[in-house]
This record gives sequence, C-alpha cells and structure tokens, in this order.
Amino acid sequence: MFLEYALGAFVLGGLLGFVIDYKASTKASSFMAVIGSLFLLGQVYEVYTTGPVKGSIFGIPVHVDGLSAVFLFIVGIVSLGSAVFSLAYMDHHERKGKGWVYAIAYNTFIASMALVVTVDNLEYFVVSWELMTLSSFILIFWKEERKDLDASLKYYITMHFADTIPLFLLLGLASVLTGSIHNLSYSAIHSALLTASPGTKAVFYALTLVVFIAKAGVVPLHFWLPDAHPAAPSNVSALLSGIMIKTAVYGLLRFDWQISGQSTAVGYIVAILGAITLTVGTLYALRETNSKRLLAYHSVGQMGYIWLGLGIGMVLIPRGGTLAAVGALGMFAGLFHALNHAVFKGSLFLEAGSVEYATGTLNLEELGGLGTRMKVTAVATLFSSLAIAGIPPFNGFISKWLIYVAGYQSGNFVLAFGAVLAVVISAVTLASFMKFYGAQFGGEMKRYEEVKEVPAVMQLGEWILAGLTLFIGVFPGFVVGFLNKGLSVVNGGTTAGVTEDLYKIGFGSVLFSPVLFVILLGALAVGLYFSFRPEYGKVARPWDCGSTKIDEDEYKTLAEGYYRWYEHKIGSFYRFTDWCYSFGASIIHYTVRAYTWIASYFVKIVDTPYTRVESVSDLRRGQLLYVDEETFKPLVRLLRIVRDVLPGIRLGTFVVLALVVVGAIVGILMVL
Amino acid sequence: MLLLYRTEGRVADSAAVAITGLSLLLNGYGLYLFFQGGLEKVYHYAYIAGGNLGEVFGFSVDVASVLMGFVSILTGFLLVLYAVDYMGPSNRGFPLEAGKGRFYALLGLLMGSSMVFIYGTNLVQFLVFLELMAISLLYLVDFYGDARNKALKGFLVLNLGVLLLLIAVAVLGGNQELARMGAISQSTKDVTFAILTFAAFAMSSQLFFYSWLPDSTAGPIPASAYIHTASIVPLGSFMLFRVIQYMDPGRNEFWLLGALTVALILLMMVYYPLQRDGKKLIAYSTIAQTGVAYITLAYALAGHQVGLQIAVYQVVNHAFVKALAFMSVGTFAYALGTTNFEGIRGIRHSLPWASVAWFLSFFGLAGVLPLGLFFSKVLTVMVTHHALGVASWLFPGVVLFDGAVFLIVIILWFREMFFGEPHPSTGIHSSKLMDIAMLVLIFIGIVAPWVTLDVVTKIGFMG
Amino acid sequence: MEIDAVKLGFSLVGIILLLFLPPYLDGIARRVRARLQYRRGPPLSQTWYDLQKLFALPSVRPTASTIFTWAPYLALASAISAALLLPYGNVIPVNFGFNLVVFFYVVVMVSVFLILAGLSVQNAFSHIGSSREMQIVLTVEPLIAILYGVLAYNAGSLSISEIVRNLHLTPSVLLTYAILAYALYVESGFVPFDVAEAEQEVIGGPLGEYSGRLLGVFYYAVYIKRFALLWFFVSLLTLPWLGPIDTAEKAALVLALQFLLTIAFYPIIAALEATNARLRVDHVVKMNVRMFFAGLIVLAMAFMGW
Repeated sequence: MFLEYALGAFVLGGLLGFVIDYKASTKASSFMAVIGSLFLLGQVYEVYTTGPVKGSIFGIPVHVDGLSAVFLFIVGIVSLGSAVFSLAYMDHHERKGKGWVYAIAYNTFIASMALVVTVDNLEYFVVSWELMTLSSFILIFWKEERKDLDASLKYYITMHFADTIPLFLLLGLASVLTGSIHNLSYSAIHSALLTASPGTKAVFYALTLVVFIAKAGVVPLHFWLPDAHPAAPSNVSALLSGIMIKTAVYGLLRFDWQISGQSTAVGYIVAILGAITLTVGTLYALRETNSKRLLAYHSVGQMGYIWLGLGIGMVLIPRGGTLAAVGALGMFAGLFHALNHAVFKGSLFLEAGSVEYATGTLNLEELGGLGTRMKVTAVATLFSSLAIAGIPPFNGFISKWLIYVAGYQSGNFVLAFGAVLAVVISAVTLASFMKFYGAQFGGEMKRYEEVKEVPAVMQLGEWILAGLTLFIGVFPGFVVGFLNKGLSVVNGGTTAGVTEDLYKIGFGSVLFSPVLFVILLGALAVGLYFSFRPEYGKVARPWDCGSTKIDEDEYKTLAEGYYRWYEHKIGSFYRFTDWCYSFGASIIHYTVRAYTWIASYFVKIVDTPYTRVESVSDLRRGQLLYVDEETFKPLVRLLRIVRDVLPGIRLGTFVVLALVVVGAIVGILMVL
Repeated sequence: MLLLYRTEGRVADSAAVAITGLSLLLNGYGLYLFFQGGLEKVYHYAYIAGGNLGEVFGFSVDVASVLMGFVSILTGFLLVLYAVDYMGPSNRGFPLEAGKGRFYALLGLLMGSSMVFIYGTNLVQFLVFLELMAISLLYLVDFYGDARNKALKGFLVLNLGVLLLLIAVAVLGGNQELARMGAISQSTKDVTFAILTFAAFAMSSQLFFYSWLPDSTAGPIPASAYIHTASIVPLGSFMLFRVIQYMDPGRNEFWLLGALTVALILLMMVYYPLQRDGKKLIAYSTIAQTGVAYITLAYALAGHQVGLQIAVYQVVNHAFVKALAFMSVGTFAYALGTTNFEGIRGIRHSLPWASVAWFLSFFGLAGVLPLGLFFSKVLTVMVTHHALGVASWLFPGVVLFDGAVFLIVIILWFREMFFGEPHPSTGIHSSKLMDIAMLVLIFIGIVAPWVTLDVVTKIGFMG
Repeated sequence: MEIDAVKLGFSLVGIILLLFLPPYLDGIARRVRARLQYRRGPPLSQTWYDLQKLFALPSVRPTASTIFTWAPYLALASAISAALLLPYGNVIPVNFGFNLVVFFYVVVMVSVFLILAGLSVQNAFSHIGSSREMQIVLTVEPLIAILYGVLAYNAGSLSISEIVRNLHLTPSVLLTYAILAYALYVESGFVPFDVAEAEQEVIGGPLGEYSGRLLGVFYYAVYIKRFALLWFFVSLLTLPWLGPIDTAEKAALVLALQFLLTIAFYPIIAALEATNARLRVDHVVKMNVRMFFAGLIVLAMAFMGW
C-alpha cells in the first residue's frame, strides 16, 4: 500500500530532524515530506483507478474509499506544495534553531492528517485527531513569539474543550452503542446507530458537531483560527488552512451523514451555521491589514461556503425527487469547494510566506510594489486571489457557482437566503483580495527596489497549487467523477447529477463551459492586443498633481483605507459581533472570578488581614489550607504536646513504637 | 542496599546502580520466563504460614504483579541512575555533601518492600511491608532534616492504613489470604472491603487524608518520584485491585468508592491553580490520577473485569509519566536551584532536554498524547457504560474536566516558563546522566502504552 | 443548414450591434444631455471620433507593470464576452453558459481588471478610484443576489432560457425589475454613481494614468459593458412575455424590439445623468445598502408566492 510507504517516509522525515544542523535537518525532513506526499497521491490514484482499498498499516485498520480518497488528495497535494516550498523557505527561520522540533512536528502533522481521513475505526480516528491537534499546536508556537504563543494556547485550550472532551465522550457513547470497547469500526457504529433511540442519536450528533465546528473554525467556535493560523510559519499555515480544517468537513460527512444516517435538522444547523460563518469570517477579513490574518479570516469565511453547500445537501437529499438532486448538487459543490479551497488557500499562504521571505513583513500597510520585483509570485497570487474571489475561469468560481445554483434552486427560503449571502460575500471576498493583491504587488516602491524573487523551489511550491486553480477551473470534468465517487460513499450510492464533459459543467439547464470561455476570452484578449498593439510614447512617473515633496512610497492608499466607507456603513454588524466577542471574553473573566472566590476558601488568608485577593497569583502566595489537616487539628495538637512534653522523643521513637504495636498485634492474631 | 548506609560518593553510586541494575535484569529475566510460559498462568509460591492466619508470606506471580513489579523496578532503576548526579554537591537547589549512602539504603528499603508488596499474597504481608515502606518514607521525607512534621504526618497516615489493615485481618482471620477471600460471606465482604478501601485511600493519599502527599515532596526528588510512581501511592490502588480481583465484593461498595473519589478529584481541581511549586503540583496530580485508577476499580466492583485491567493500565502509564515529570522538575532544582515555577523562565534555551521532558510529561499528565495517560483516560471513558446510574456520566465527566483544568494550569505555566530570556540565567549546568535517564524514560513512556495494552487485557477476576 | 445560416445571421447582427452600437449610444446620451442643457451637442458619431483619436495616440508609461498594459485588453475581452452571451432575437452568439451567475461574473470581470489596472500604478488617486469602484461592486452585488433569488424561485432555475420560459408575473417580479434597473444603472457607473472615475475629484480614478490607445481600449470596454447590461435588462423585460420564439420572423421582430427599446432607454438614462450631480461615495454605499434591505423584503414576498 502506498499509504504505508507514505507514513514510512513521514516517520523517516521526522527522525532525520535529529541528525544534522538546522539547514540540513529542515531540508532533509521537508524532502521526506515531499516523498511522502507523492506516495499519498499515488494512493489516491490507486483508489481512483482500482476502487477502495482496505487493509491495515502498522496494525492500524485503514479503509481508503472514495471519500477518503478525496480528502487524501487534499492532504497529498497541499502537503506536496508546502513541502516543496519548505525546502527553501525554512532557511528564513534559521535564527530560531530547533530544526528537529519542526521536522518531527511537521511530518507528524501531515501523517496524522493522512490517518484521520483514512482510518476505519473510531479509536484510531481519535488518536490521529489528537496527534494532529498536538503537532499543529507545536508548530503554531514554534516561532516562539509572545503573540504566537498566546494564539497557540488559545487554540489548544479551545481544542481541548471542544474537541478532545467531546471525542472522549463520543468514544464512550460508541462503546455503549456497540456494547464493546474492541469493536468501534465505523460500520459497527453505523449499524448500532440504526436501532438507537432518538435521544442517543441526538447526543451523537451534538458531540460530533461540536468537534467539527471547533476544528473547522465555524462560528461560534472560530475565534482561535484567525490568531492561530497566521502564527505558524507560512508553510505550516498552508497546511492548517489548506488541510487541517478540511478534516472537519471529512468528519462531518463521515460521522454526521454516513454513519449516523440522514437528518434534515442537522442539515439546517450546518447550512445556517455555514451562512453565518461565511458572512462573519469574510467581513472580518475585509478589515484586516496583516496578510496572513486576512487569509485566516477568509479560511473561516470559505469554510462557511463549504458548510452551506453540505447543509443544502443534508436538508434536501432526504426530501427525495428533484429536490434530492438539487441537494446532491449542493453537497457535491460543498465537497468541491473543500478541494478548491485547499488548493487556493494553500497557495495563498505560501505566497504570503514568499513575500515575508523576501521583504520580512506581512503588513499590507507597508508592502507594495512587488509586482515588478517578484513576477512569478505575483502571478501566482493573482491566480489564487481570483480563484478565491470566484472569478471565472478559476476553480473557486465553479464550486461557488454550483453552491449558488443549489441554494437558489432549492425553493427553500432559508437555503436561498444562504445563497444570497454567499453571493454578497463573494463580492466582499473579491474586494478583500483586490486589496490583498494590490497592496502587496501593485505600484512601485523604492523601499523594495532591492527585493529579489524567492528561490526556485519556493516558486515551484506555489505554482503546484496556483497552477491547479486554473487547471481545475478550466477542466472541472477531471475532478467531477472523482468527487462523485466520494459523494456516493456517504450517500448510499447517490451521486450528484452534474453534467460534465470536457467542455461543460453544470446542472440541468444551468451550464457553464469554462473551456469555451477561456478560449473566447483568451482569443479576444490576445487578438485585441495584437490588433491594437499598445504603443508607448514616453515614460513618466505617476502624476502627483505637481507635488515636489511627496514621499513616493507613501503616495498610495493604505490597506486600511480601501473600503472604509463600506465598513463604516455596515458598522452595526461589526459592533454586534464585537459585542459577541466581549461577551465570550466576559464569560471567561467571570469563570476565573468564580474560581478565585472558591479557591480563597482553601487558602489561609485569614491569618494575614487586609490581604487583597484579586487574582489567582495573589492566592498562590498564601499558605494552603488542607481540609483533612483542619479536621484533625486537635489530634495533631495533642500529638505535638505529647512530643514536646515527653523527653527524648525523636523520629526513631515513632518507628519503634509502630513496629512494636504492629508486631504485637500480628503475633496475637496469629496465635488466635 | 541497606549495606550502603555508611558508604559515600562514587562507591555508593556504582553499588546502587549495580544492585538495582542487577535486580532489573533478574526481574527482566523473570518477566521473559513468565511471558514464555503464557500470560494466563498464575504461579503461587507460599513461603511462610503462620498459625491461624494461614499464609503470611508468599509470592503470587501473575500478569498483574509481573507487570507492576517490572514497572516498579524499571522506574526505580532509572531514578537511581538519575539520583547519581542529582544527589550530589553540584545540585544547586539541594546540594548534598554527605549521606548519599543513607539515601540509597532508604530507597533500597522502599524498593525492596514495594517489590514484596507487589508480589504479596495476603493481607498480613501487605501490612508488614507497608509498615516498612512507611518507615523508609519517614526518613526519606525528612532526609534534609527540615521536614520533620511533614514526614511524621505521612508516617502517621500510613500507620493509620496499617491499623485499618490490622482490623481487616482481625475481622477476616484465616481468610486474610487473597486466595481464600472469595469464599467468605457477603456481609463480611462488605465490612472488610470498606475497611480496606480506607486503608488503600490512606496509602494513596485519597480522602480523608490527602494532604500528606503534597507535604511529603519535601524529600529528595528521586525518592518522591518513586513514592509517587511505583511505590506507596499506586500500590494503594494495587492492593485494592488485588482484593477486588480475589474477593469480588459486589456492587454494594460502588458508591462508597466512586463518590469519595469523585469528591477528591473535584477537590484537587481547586488546588491545581494554587500551586507554584512544581513538586506540589505533581503531588496533586498524583492524587487525582490515582483517583482515576480508583474510579476504574469502581467499574470492576460493578462486575466488569475491564475495570481491573484499566486500573493496572492507568497505574503503569501514570508511573512513567509521573517519573518523567519529577525528573524534569528535579532538573530545574539541580540546574536552576528552584522548583518554584514563578521564578523560572526560558527553559527552552537554558535546559533544552529537561524542557522537552517537562512539556511531554506535564501535558501528558493532562491526558495529552503521545504519553500513556491519554490512552488510559480514553479507556476509562470508554468503559463508562459499566458504571451504575448517574455515574456513567459523572465519572467520565469528572475525569475529563479534571484533565481540562490541569491542562489550563499547565498551559499557563508553559506560557510563562518555556520561552523568552532564561531566568535564572547564570550558573546553569545540567547533567548528561540525568538527561539520558529522561530520554530513556520518554522513549519508554511512548512505547509502553502500546505494549502494555495487550498485557493488561489478560487480567481478570480470580478466586 | 438553413437554421444554422439564420443563426449565423442573427449572431452576426448581434456582434455588429455589440461592437458598433455602444459608442453611438453614448453619442445619443451626449446629444440628449446637451439638449437638456440648451446646447446643440456633438454629432452622434462624436464618441467614435474620440475613440479613433485615442487609438491613434501613443500612451504614456507610468509603470513597468505588465498588468497595466494587459488590463485594458482583458477588460475589453470580458465586456465583449459578456455581450456575446446575450440573446439577439433568440440567438446567443457564443453560449458558454447562459445563466445569470455566469453573465454577471463576466460583467464584474470588467470592473476587476479596471481595479487591478488602477492598483498597478503608484498613484493614490488611482487607488482611491479603484477602491471606489470596488465598493460599488460590493454594494451592487447584493442587489443582484436578490435578483437571482426572486427569478430562480419564480422560474425554478438560474438558467436564463428557463427563466424566459417559466417566469410568471407577480408583484415581486415587478419590484425586482425596479431593483434590477437600479442595480444596473449603478453598476454601469452613470451619473450620479460615477464616483470611481470622477474626474474632478480623483482625476479619472483607475483610468487616471491611462492615455492614448490604452485609454481608448478601456473606454470602449466600458461602453460595451454598459450596452451589455442594458441589453440584458431589455431582454429580461421583453422575452418572458412574448411567448416561444420559434420562427425566424418572430425572432427578427424581437430583435428589432430589443434594439428599439435599448435606444429608447438611453435618453432616459441621459436625462437622469443630466439632472443629477455626482453622489459622495458614502452616499452611494448607504443607498445601496438600503436597497439591499428593501430587496430582502421583495425576496421574502417572492417566497410567499406574491
């Protein structure tokens, strides 16, 4: 099995981190990650051509079916891009040292994600899931900056409460359902759930939903994501946003759809959360001026699109008839968007990393003028930006468009309203990425005149993914069958009725032919270009109204000011969500207060009057109060007096005393 | 080992390492033989029988005792190895010029009696060797001569345990042999089991006498580590495990055991954030983690042998993680001169290996991969449907919440201690031997849960 | 083969219309505006002459950026593609996806290239213009989303041919026409919504650094885009109520109707332009946001069957 080789490569990559110095170890481990990712893709190809593979690797039961293959492809392709990119990128962080931590965590991270989407057993699912959380946690604080550290802690604590604990409870529930702790394969849980009571099912849904909402960064558990994703090195951010949050989508389809059976109510929850998430995430992204934070908020937003698509499917498929076909389309589109998002978001994070590598900053206010200095990266960024903004003929357009089609044609107000929001937010995404691209690559700045394009392997890493945005966008037919196989696994054989051939993709009479469009647009643009060739007269600096003392680098719009009026006019939205944030923060604040109040009873603060207790660290200075000691204090006092009164008592005296008593009693008992 | 009392310096080191190493090898060989013979077998060697009390000294060799014994001697060996450098003049926090031999002798006494305790076959044997352990504890805690009251507290509580055991023996009479316990009447079972529960609680520092364990950390760290990981504290739950295994007292005592343990774990959650001393924090965690073992024993009371299995699994995993935690904190004492987390900064730079050990073990205590407590916690939660009534939600809830609270406490310390400029920044010296001991333990800790899982599943009811 | 010939004929007419009509439409607008201001006004072909003059001039080069050079051509290509996707009679010249979403996205691409062009130079005025253009797109897109919703619910599909076949008249559809008219007017960037290219404020916005041939290409693209949006509106206004168009004669009549209506609408637009002053960008945003909430009510009405 290719998967086995892949895991072997990742293990080796992790171990290679130990051998040599920083540069060599990061390069060697990244190289092994490249090999491993290639093996993963090989596994996907095998499954695609010959059907599902079942088996066990290193004693772990795996089952790579159509759905796993889709997500394994996501894991493989994004890791490939990221790992190729890392070959050179990690030099940027050489100052930090500890290449071996990176090597182990990075390889473990990819391997655990590959396992999450392939294992066939809940126990191993939980183990790989936890391993994924842990290794990502390590990678997030890897840079050791205070801000990053806080982000990683927020991430990990959130994950512990919203992922680990529910997953543990889920394991408990599953073993209740199957009646054994040794048989937690997906099929066993599925058959046990078929006959389970509605209450049990509700608990199952609740637990799994919490887990996946938190991991996917879906509102209301998204607050960790915009901090955590940018904190990691950029190649890791690509993995976090590209793959890790997709494992939640995998889980949603696997657990809340295939294993649990179909449920419209859950579908509504997923769809509504999706619609809210895409709005909140993207509108927050619009305000960002740090390129990686902006991307991270967009990950929240795009996740909303995916959930909306899946939710449409979950609501409509049980209805049957033509609506079921629309539903299947929605689910297909959601899955498709998951794939697309992995590709373009991975690419965007790598490009942000390239800019950081070349200029040392991620601040969109400072950046600018890189378009002429870093041409290759600029074009890759443009491709990925247009893809995420849903501009044809890039891949993001196709999947978003199918989500719209499914939403609008659902005939359901809630879902249609979700689609309205999706279209609106698509424009916001476009706005945000115009800013993202323009602020970094637009114009020409003196400050960055010396900037050089990043090394070739980094460009290759970007282009593996950026190239795919165009390829999938123009030839979506290549992936439709692949995705439909995944869909049929979770839907009991039903696939989406997506019209697909080399030229067209669509649903019913709603069709789009990306190939034709590209040919038309390309032919027109090139034709026009050559028939009206641009003629340049003289070269002049941009006109600055004749000003003489202007700093040309500052002669631009700051990233913050791009859409100020728009943000101002929808300010009540921001005020409301900011209030929600502060509400969440105050919950934590009051929990701490409550704890301090309880804990103050366990500290002897009475002895030192006028002590102000405001925080836990104030309490730490006091002497602890032991409940048992207080209870037996009279006895202890008596003993103390005895000790003080009786002369010559030492520790040894107690020993002798104890031995004598014990010996005597045992002796007596023996005789009796 | 007792012979080392008067020796000093290098001689003591090499002798102690040699003796523990030898016993480790012997034990390893025994383990090998045992595994060759098949895991299901139970070997019973009776040596001394005493009048009406029946057997009073013997060895019971089965999966549980072999596993526990091996874990105990293995951690013991690593701790002795660790102590070679730790108990020396270059220790910044607790420099030791003389008395090393005394330390080894006491530790040897503790190890020896723990081993006999583990292989014990009857209550009298438990009782006698518990007394011996109590004595060595008394001297070990007061090793530096500044913790007399604390040592005495531990000693007295353990003697309370001894007393309770005595009462139990008195009630049972000749039935105090484990093998004969199954046959006694249900009412006697109820009474004796309740008494034994409290005896075990006294050993494991559970309710109602939980405070001696945090106080006992005043002793040298390798000794505390041994007490916490593979000696008195876990052996309390091991004793109860044995009793349940042979007696099968039924579910009457389920709530006694369960409710007290839950109350204790809830109490511990209040204490975690109040700690600033690494050793004490570990002590509270030990109490709670042993509590988890008692919870799984409660499952066994409800008649499920899987509860027994997980109890042993929990104790074994806990042993490695906790030993590692102690070693990392000991390294702080050794190199930085303090175990107070508030005074420690930037260990990532100053003590790279100890910081890795700290990270893995403290997060491991909160139930984080890759160390074993994760797995035992998973299993504890998974078998929860064997619990009675509301306990099936209460137990896992408490266990998980405890882990979460501990994790928050740890993660906040992690934030303060781990990165940034090192503080204290001068005079940091670490010891190769200690680092090696920690690395070996990390390796063992990662491998152990996978290996022992198969072993513990062979444990079942006896008698 | 005969049908193909007819189709080809209609397509050819369509192509001719979309290429040559837009500047004349602008000419009409200029004329009407002049008349309203008691001026005589330029000849109808004046816009053509302007374009020809621009094409003949070389451009000034303010940046080495490739996007700066290519953006006008890509914008023009997008505008032509959008116009080619519209029905002329019953014939769509190049059908690469005859549905609402595709059409509007291709139209938006004109704005995208305009914005990119503006951002590619180091000029604050261009940047401001680009961001204004983007804010217009930002606030118009919600209205168009409403339009999708009403039409798709009413006709059961997003495909324009399905909509034409199945649309039935309800109050919500009428209101949607109003919203659509407003949205298209704003999207076309007519006064008072020409904040992006406002010459007096931001010296031409994204087009500020363009000159000569490249500027001409951009202007041409904008005219074609305006034409496409208007033609789309006219088609949607007429086609659903004319019944199936199955003969070439009827198709020719429909085409004539479309043509006439398009020409008829332009003076109205010009009148609106002439009688209004440019709004401030925050006013535009505010108006559009309000329209969006009004649109939501229309959408709710549609779902209630009104």
